[in-house]
Amino acid sequence: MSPTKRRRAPLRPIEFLTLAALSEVPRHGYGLVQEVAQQTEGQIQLRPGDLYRVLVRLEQRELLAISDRRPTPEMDDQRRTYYRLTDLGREILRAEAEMLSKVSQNVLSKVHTEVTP
Amino acid sequence: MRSRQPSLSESRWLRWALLAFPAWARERHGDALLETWEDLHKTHNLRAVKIRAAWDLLRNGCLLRLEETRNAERPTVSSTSLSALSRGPHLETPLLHRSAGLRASTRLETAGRDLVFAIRKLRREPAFTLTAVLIVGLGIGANTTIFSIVNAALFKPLPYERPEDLVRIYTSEEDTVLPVGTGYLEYLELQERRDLFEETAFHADPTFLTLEWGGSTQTVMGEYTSVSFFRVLGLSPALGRDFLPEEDTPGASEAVGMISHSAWRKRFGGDPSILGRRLQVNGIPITIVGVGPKGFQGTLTGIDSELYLPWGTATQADRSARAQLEDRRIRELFVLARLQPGVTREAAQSALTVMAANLAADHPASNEDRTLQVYAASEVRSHPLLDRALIPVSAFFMVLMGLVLTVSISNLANLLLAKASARQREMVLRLALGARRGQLVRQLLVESTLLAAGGGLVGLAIALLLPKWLVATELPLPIQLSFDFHLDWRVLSFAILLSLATGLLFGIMPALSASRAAFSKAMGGSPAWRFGQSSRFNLRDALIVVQVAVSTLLLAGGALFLHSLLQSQNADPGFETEKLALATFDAEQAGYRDEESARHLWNRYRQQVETTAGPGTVALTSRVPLGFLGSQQIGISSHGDLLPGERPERQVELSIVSPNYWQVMDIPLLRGRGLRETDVPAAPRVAVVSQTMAQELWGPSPAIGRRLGVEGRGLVEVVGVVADTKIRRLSETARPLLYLPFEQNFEPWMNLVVATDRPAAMKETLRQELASLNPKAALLENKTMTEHLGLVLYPAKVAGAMLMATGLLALLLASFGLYGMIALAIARRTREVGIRAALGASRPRLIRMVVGEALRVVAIGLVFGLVLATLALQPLRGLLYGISPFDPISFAAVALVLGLVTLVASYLPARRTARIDVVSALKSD
Repeated sequence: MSPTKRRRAPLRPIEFLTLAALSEVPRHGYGLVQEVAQQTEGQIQLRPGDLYRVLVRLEQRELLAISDRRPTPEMDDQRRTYYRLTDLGREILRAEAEMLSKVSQNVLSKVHTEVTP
Repeated sequence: MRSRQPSLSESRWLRWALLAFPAWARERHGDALLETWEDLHKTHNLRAVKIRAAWDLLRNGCLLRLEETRNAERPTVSSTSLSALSRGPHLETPLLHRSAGLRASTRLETAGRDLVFAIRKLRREPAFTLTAVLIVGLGIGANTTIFSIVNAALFKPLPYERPEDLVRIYTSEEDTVLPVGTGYLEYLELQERRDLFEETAFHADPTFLTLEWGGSTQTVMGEYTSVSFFRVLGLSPALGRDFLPEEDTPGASEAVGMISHSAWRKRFGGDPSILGRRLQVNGIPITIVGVGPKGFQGTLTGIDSELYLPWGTATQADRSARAQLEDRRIRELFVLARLQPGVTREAAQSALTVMAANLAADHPASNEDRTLQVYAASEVRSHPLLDRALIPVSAFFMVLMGLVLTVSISNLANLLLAKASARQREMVLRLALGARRGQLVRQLLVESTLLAAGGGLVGLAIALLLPKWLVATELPLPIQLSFDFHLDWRVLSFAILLSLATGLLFGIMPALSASRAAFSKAMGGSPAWRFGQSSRFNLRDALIVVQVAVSTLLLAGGALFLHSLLQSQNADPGFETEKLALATFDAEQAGYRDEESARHLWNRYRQQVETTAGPGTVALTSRVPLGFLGSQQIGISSHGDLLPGERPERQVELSIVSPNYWQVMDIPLLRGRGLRETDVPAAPRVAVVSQTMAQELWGPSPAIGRRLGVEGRGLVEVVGVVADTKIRRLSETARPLLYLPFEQNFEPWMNLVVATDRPAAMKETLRQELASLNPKAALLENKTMTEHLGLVLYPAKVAGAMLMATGLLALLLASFGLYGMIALAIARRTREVGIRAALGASRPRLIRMVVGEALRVVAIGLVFGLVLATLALQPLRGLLYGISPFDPISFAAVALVLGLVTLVASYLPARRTARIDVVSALKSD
């Protein structure tokens, strides 16, 4: 698998959720855990180890990077590492989201018609 | 209140768990990952967070490594097609282009595969696996248990600060060089030596104290110390204050005490309001000013002191402490000192040698021929003499357990051998399919190591539970044992090393043999190593011989003690052994501080009990024969009074008794008279001597009317001679014993002895009568004479029970081995048996043949074991009563038991021989 292919490979659900959690602002590890939990309405509680395995993988695929931009100094904690989306990561996230949204609309319409008699 | 937890990112455990991640990922994200766990914990306050986090880290680190390996294995398009081919599925083939990292990960994968294969293999045969794990677990468990006790008693470092410049000082007589304590006046002189010591301190041995609080009275262990004691050790109280300088001076300040940390937790639930609380100790009120250092259990290993009293208070609460203030001959203090910077131990020793010589010149009566000895504090755990006694005991038990381990692992080896032979077909097949012999050996080793690791876990579990249970067993003394049994790295590494060594050592032999056999078979030759070729003595037989020999040794030891116990139960100690009840207490500790009131209490107690039990049935004595408490010797001179400072002619055993003593104890009066109620302080001073004492001092000439000088008690006239009794041990030859009347020689610590037909019921009466005289007085001991004598036999009982238990364990293991060996031999010899049956051998004959072979192997083991026992059990001579370590009866009993076990263990499988179908037996290969 060439590096380019590996970058383009479909995202796993947990990878998608992690990238999605970074779509607005850079976040640190625990921030990501919280954001994923919030976006999934508490259904997915990531354990830090799992999260970082995903982060390492996404970083290798150049979909995210360690961020130099930090929050305002009073909110900041020097020890923390913040992660941001790369341009490639943003592009792939959007493509994936569009694809998923089509799939889910499709599914929903079918499920809906089948339920109504 | 919850104490602040150390931060997760500082946790050593988690740092270790993080090692599961590849180095680059760890460096780049490790800290951030730990931070995230920290944040998660802060928000959710997780339970067992460290375990969860460690597991999370380990799991994901391993997964990440695995993903990496997989990605690396998968050929990338950018690689050349040649290397793509070479990295194909044939990972075992060595390749030129493989990178170092990849090679390492391949090795890891192979090891992983071996492990998975081994686990699968073992899970498929749960009975075998369970048996093997249990056998090894018992061996390792027994060893680790004893090691953790030895570790707690001997190896765990004492919690002192800067132990390198801490020394202990003892005095000893020049001709004996046995280190004993130091006298108080000597200590004061040592304290002055500021040129040598920064600071000095002392403690006395733990002693019984009567503690009264909240309306109940109890006997507890306590220690007297100088006020500098904790400071010199570098320890400080967990709560409250340390002792103040003025609290060293007798009578100079109010009585205070420090409660030990564990007693504070146990008795007062860790209540901080303990400070300032007033308790009665030995009848005097003291104020608790501090709680002792956490984890400090006192100065005598194994005995938990609950209370520390500064010297000033001790001299108020205890007459014997007070006596040391003046008398240079009493040496009951143990001195610790911190060396001045630049002063070496050797320098201190030579300075003290000079000091000892000066002391001897100034005080010849107490200090002649006495030296002062300096020991490094790290060399001493409790007391040099006690340490010296503990080492052989520990060694004895370690050797005992080592023997059990020998049996259990040679059993494992045997099992593995049997197993390997059963797997020869599988191995031949694997060899034929291209596996190398090294791979087979490795596979077998992984299996045996896995079994040993399982055994190690079982062993560790045993070692965690058993010592607590052992220590909780009630001693026949009012002392509670306490050891620090927290698993430390020593015990853990001991168990791990033991299991690893077991797995490798005893796995390699069967693995090599089995693979060799399979190898030569695969090569078309005949197996070089054969099972069941009974005419030859093989490895399996040798292992059985070892097991039988060791079991014999252990059983012989156990049988010796058993026989000795039987003998001693018939022994005549020279006094009534059944119809007596005893009560012991210390009048001074009950608050009767002067001689007159204490004597009054004792006499009233005696009279009250007499009204219940009947006249002439009650007596007092300062020592109950064959007891551990109250043993006392005294110096005498048969040439008249001892001048102050004069050395006594000899030491004899001393007992202080009331008039009816011999009548109550049923000890015959041989000549003269016993003591009378008229032998009061104002009357002439008298004494009664034992037959042996009279014999040794005056030979055949009459003893009555002789005058004796008694150390510290003046001249006495001998008025009677009584028969000998055993005094210290059942096995002793009669010792000289001097009896002095209670009315003329006071002792606050006494025993009341009552002759009664119902001793058990009398115990309660004794307790109630004392309570009616003084509800605050606590009986130190309250038992029947039978119970008391049980105590004398206690060491022999414990040693015998230990040996018997380990012997039976070894025998059980050995009989498993025997059974397995014979079953296998028969299975292997189906064809031979078939031929014999076809030729007309009868069933009993076949059984006889098989059993006979087993007996032959066992007999060899038995002979070895008995020779070993004769040599190895010699040192137990001192513990045996009435028999020698070479005791034919015990040895014969062991041989008989072993023979019977062999018969059963071999007969069961041998029965199967006769059921063998001749035709199929002949067909089998």
